[in-house]
Amino acid sequence: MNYSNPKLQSALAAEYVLGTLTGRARDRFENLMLAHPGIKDWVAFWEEKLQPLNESAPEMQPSDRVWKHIQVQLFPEMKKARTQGTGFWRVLGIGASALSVLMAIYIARPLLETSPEIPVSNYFTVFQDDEKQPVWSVQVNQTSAMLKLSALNVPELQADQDYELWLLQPDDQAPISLGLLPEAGELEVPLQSLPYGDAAGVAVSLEPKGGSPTGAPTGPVLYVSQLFDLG
Amino acid sequence: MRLAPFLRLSQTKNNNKKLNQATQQSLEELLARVAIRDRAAFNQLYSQTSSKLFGVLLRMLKNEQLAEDVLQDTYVRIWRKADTYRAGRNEPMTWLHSIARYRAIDLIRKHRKESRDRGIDEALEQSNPAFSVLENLERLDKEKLMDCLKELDQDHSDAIVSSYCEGYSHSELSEKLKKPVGTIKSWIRRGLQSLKVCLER
Repeated sequence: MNYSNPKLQSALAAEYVLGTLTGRARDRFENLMLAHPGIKDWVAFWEEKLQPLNESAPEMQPSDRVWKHIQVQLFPEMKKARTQGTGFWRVLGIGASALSVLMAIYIARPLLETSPEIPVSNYFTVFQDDEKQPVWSVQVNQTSAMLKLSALNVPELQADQDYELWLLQPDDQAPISLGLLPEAGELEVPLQSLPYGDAAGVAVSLEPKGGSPTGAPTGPVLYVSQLFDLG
Repeated sequence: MRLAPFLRLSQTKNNNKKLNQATQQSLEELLARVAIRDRAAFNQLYSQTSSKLFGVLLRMLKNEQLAEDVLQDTYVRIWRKADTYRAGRNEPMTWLHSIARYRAIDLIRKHRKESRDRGIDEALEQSNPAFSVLENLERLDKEKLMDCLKELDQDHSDAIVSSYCEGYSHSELSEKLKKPVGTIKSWIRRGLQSLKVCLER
């Protein structure tokens, strides 16, 4: 068969998308798709054109256990971290945003009371895991020019790994490393002079011990959050 | 890790300064963030799309346990393959549905289960499913596809819609419609040819 014939390509793609291309023919077609880019376009054509049929299906809420199973399958390390969660945060964990606001006010109060004379700002965020449990708090204190990082409920790392904090910049600029995050306790380091007010947010990536060897994130991005301007 | 999607994220985040806007993020943005292993985005993508995919899977597999298994497998694939999503080629929802459907088709074809067959028996006793699909298309204002399906011979259109939505094979349709397998094959082949001509108009 001449697989570069568009008519044949379309006919096979349609039956592939429909599901009526079966058995060895289906396997063969999947290989053909790799060899003939035009076939992929026909598959995309039929997928898009028949998509309204999917939208005609009534929405059905799956059981909560599906999401749990997905997480266990993809992120087995989370199970451990979750069972280590302290009672304190569990009790306080009454909705993530409420908690963040409470903490922001509590931690920000001393900062606000100092009312700095120079036009600097202070920023704050809490990274949360998928269960809205706080993982770290981050305080950017331009008044004292210090960066304060508090480990709240941090998943265990392998010996050859570190968590690294990044300032996400706007407009296609590369993220800037703010250093390594503590696995436990608090860490206070001198604050780099950076445009925190313009930042697109902050992120945590998993890196080799000692941090990214390249100056850019190399590992998976585990958490992303916004910086809240406390004035 | 590639840098480009990471930067795409920072740009995206910049456009969403307020936290509560996160709920309104487009599926395209969410997929871009999932591609860079953003678990919160993955969670949100699941919340926004899982009931749609589950509805389609239930309709195809006719068994809740099988549909849950395929749904789980689908999102595992989405997490792993999000970086292969090409915005220009397909709409995000089409891409997600396609992953789910192909997983379901594989399951139906390779590991046919008695439980699904029982579900099919029940479905066969109900009224013509293709008809209710067309009714829904009308309601959803998906005129182009519906008009084109209506232009086809009724037999051809029913065979196409039943294969796609119910996951029926040629032989299942042959049994359901009491026609030889060869007839079913030819209905679908000729129906798809005419459908293509109409859709491309």
